[in-house]
Amino acid sequence: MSRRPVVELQDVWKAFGQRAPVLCGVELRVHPGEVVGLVGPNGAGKSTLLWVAAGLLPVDRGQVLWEGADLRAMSPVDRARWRRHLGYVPQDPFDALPPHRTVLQTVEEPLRIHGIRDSAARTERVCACLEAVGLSPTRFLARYPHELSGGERQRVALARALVLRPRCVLADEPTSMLDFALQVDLVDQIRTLRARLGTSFLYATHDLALAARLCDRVAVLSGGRVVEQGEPAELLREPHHPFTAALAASARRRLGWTET
Amino acid sequence: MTASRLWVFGAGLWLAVWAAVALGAPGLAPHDPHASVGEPWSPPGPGHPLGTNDVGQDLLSELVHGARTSLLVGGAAALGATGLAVGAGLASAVWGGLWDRLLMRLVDLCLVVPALALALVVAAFLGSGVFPAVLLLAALLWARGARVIRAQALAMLQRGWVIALRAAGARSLYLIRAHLVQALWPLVAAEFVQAMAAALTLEASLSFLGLGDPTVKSWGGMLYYAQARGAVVTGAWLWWAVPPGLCVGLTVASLAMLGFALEERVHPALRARRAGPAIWPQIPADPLRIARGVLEVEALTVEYGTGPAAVRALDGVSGHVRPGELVGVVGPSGSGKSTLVAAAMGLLRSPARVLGGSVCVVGVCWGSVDAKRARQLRCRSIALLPQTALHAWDPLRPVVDQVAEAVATHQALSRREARLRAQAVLKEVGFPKSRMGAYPHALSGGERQRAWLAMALVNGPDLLLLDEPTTGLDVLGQDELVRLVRDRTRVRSRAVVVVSHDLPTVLRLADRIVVLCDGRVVEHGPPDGILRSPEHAYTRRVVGALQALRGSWAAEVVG
Amino acid sequence: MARWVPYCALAWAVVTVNFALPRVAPGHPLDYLLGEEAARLSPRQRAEALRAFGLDRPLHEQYIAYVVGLATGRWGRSVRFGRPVLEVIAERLPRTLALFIPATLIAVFLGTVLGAWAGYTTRARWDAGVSSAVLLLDAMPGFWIAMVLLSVFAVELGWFPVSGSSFAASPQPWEQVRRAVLPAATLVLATLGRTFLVVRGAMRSVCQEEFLWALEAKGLPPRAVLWRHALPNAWLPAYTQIVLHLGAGAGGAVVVETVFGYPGMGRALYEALLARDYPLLQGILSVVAFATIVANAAADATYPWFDPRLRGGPAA
Repeated sequence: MSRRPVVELQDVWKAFGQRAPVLCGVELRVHPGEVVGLVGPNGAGKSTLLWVAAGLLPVDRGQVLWEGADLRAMSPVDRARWRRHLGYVPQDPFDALPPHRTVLQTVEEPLRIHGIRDSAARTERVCACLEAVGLSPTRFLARYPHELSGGERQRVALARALVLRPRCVLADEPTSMLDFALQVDLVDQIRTLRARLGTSFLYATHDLALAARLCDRVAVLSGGRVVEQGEPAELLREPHHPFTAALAASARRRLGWTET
Repeated sequence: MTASRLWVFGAGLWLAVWAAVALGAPGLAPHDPHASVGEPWSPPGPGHPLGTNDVGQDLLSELVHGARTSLLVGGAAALGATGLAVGAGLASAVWGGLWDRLLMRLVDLCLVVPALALALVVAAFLGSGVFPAVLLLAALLWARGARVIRAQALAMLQRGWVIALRAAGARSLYLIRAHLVQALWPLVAAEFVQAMAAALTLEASLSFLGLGDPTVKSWGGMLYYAQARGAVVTGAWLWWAVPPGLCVGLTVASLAMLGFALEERVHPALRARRAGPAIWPQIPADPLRIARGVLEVEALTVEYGTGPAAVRALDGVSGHVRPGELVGVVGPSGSGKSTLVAAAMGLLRSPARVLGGSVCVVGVCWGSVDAKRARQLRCRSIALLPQTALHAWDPLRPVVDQVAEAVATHQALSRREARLRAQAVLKEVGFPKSRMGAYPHALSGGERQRAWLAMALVNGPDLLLLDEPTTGLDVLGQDELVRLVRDRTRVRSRAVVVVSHDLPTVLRLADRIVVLCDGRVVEHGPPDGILRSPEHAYTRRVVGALQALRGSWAAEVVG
Repeated sequence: MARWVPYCALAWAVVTVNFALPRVAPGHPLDYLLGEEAARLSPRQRAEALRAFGLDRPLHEQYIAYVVGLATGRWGRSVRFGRPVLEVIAERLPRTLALFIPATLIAVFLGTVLGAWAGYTTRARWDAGVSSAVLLLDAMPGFWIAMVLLSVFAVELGWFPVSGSSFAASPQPWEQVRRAVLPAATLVLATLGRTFLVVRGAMRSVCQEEFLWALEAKGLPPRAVLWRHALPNAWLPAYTQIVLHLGAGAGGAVVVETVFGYPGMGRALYEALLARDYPLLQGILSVVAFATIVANAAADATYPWFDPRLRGGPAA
């Protein structure tokens, strides 16, 4: 039997105000070391699901479990402390970093939050992390966000998510606003990192092809429901849900396999 | 820019001078403002530079002492109001929920109360005096600031990096301490000076109505006596009423000026003015020139800015598009794609400067036509699907009206005919008929994209320019768009150019691909050729990325 | 629904303050309700007066009686004018509105046109010049503008009458208009800046919107871009403020009316305050509160006419 899932969602419902619910009974598990792709079109509720999983939004119904512990049963202090095992990478590279902080200050901030006072130790961790995401510390430590390209910003954001050596990183379409070549680069980087660090990822994307390259398992989200889950190969070969089939067909055409 | 900086400097200087005068009033004033030291009603002259009032008090001394009261009451009230505003605004934004609702209701209430009427009534009962006035003004003026600070704090809490920090365990108090206060202080300063301006005006109004402390000299009080003693009808107003009025007005104006300058620091968009069009090198119109295509770009070089800081966005780009072609332009961000699109539309804005070369649409070059002729070309000869097509709608008009407007601008048709034409083309791109009268906000991203495509095609342009058409669309939307462009545009438009970073999309559409990198055309050829033997480093990278995706896909599916 | 809460709270607060004013102020309420006469009453008359005003009953009954009276039009007599409060208000309110509404409309028109142009133009110097002038004008206290206009145009040049108590004595309509010119001009000058600054700021941010650039790509002339598309968008933030301002106008422009001796609501409020004329003060405050609430409701109800995003109907 595998260990308890790092993050688990059980029958999660979430609505904003009087509008139709965004999440309707989502079931999702992220096991240690696993990369789970959350694939769905715009408006399917991917961002909301990540926020709920990160404990940033209260759920209307159902449970969010962090390593088996019910989020609602945890005290605010415990929750804040447990978050050292959690990383988050936002979508928009121009919104991902505080504009008035250097790369060093940005990446070390989670360490400060969790009370690591030794600044030399912090800098060392930051340098290691930057190297892991493919940025040279000597060149980047003192730079400000406006001096970085979109791809570099997202790498810094990834480094910040990894600096506490979390058990799970939640990534909200971190590549969707990057150039095509950079998208594949960053996905490959995450693949290498996972192999090296054993961190699990919950990776939201609308691109099944990208998810197939990165993920061990893909959950297809449509209309606030996980309509299908499985290994990418399975989903691509024989999708059960029509929506998965449409996504797979789109992705196939996009890659130029079939043209209709 | 320099002009406005000069204004701000002037405003600061005026305030600094009066602050100094207020501090040193007893030493600076030539006389005791409460003592009769001269002939009543004397005009300005030696001894009394501003003359005297009806009981022979020196008006300059009154003015100098009045600065103390006015600035003290204004400053103290503003301090109180800003303190309340910051506390309430941050609490409301950070804790939300019931707190937020209660506080914002209170703010609404304070904002709808007619301030002067209320101030009058309360002042009449609280009695005159500096301290009650400060309390009253602070209570009246905190609400606006609280709302502004709450809105700004809420906007910041939604930022991606704040969410990342909260996910990593940052608590509210930490965020306030480490980020919010630091990022909000220019706004807080702006609120302070604006509250001070409002407090000064209100205080002057109350004093003018005789509700101020009669034992303390103030600018509003001087005006009260000038009015009450009939200075207006005697001609004495020129030296009795004008100086204190100007002092109040210029101080309030200076504070407002500083407030605007500070607000612009928080919202740089307030500072950004609409830029004027970039100047093209003049090209004499040549009637014998034969157009080689619907779009001809000849050695186009464009820079942003001047001097050593200038950035060259395009460096001698050439190429042309023949009728019937579908050309793809591929390049990474920063390669000059957006500049090329703006140049093709003749819509480059300063600080862009065209250093050389030309862009001609159906044989007409942007440098050689006047503004009116240039407008006739846009959307008629060369139409654009902008990168921001999802958001580039006037929110106040139904989309069908906006499409019809594009028809009416370029064709002499009645409103009805224009509308019918618009509806026909909308239908053609698969825009649902039931949505025809809808406003942009009620449409999905895909529907808005389709409607824009209809707007671009409605006049049957010679060239359709698609600028990053897949931005903001998911794979399903992208797929639809590609099909739409392939099926529909050839019917409606003579040639198409797709500009994008997304090689897979361009490969699916284009007959011919141009690779743009660092403002230069580094490679061009048919899609097959580019895919088979990419030459330039960037092309190799992007083709490699596509092959990698294909490879992993094949491996997955085949097992 | 929730948006009504502050207005109901406001109405309640004003009614309660009105009720409390004569009762918490120093001295006996009867002094305020009857003025000078109160001192001359015999003890029996005094007791009768107390009963007549209901002041002998418990406080909560007085409160209910007060609210009922307010609702049924029993607003009392003004001490200062010796007439029923409603009569005074019925005379003053039309005069104030006749001054205030045209002045506000002119100020809004000028402020909108100038502000829209200043926010849209690419000519920085012109914008800086116009904006600084308007900012300065906006900063000048209204009463001071009134004093200067009065001194220059009425006293020095004699173009307009130096108004005052003679107002009521001149029944000719033309003369009334002539008297209203300077107060109206003052109101225009003093309130134009508000609209200007709001519209100019809103126009600046509209100019950053994607759709403006797209309109040029459609080949629209700048005129059409500015007046047909940019201005309606920029005017939205100003609209609510303008309606609220009109509502506040029911209370009159206290300082301007005072300077010109214009017999409107503002002047009546001021006089009632100086004379401690509680019935009139209560009446005017009730009118002001009512107008504020109506204006708010009107602004909320009409805003969706201008902004389709707030209308119901098919949403995405």
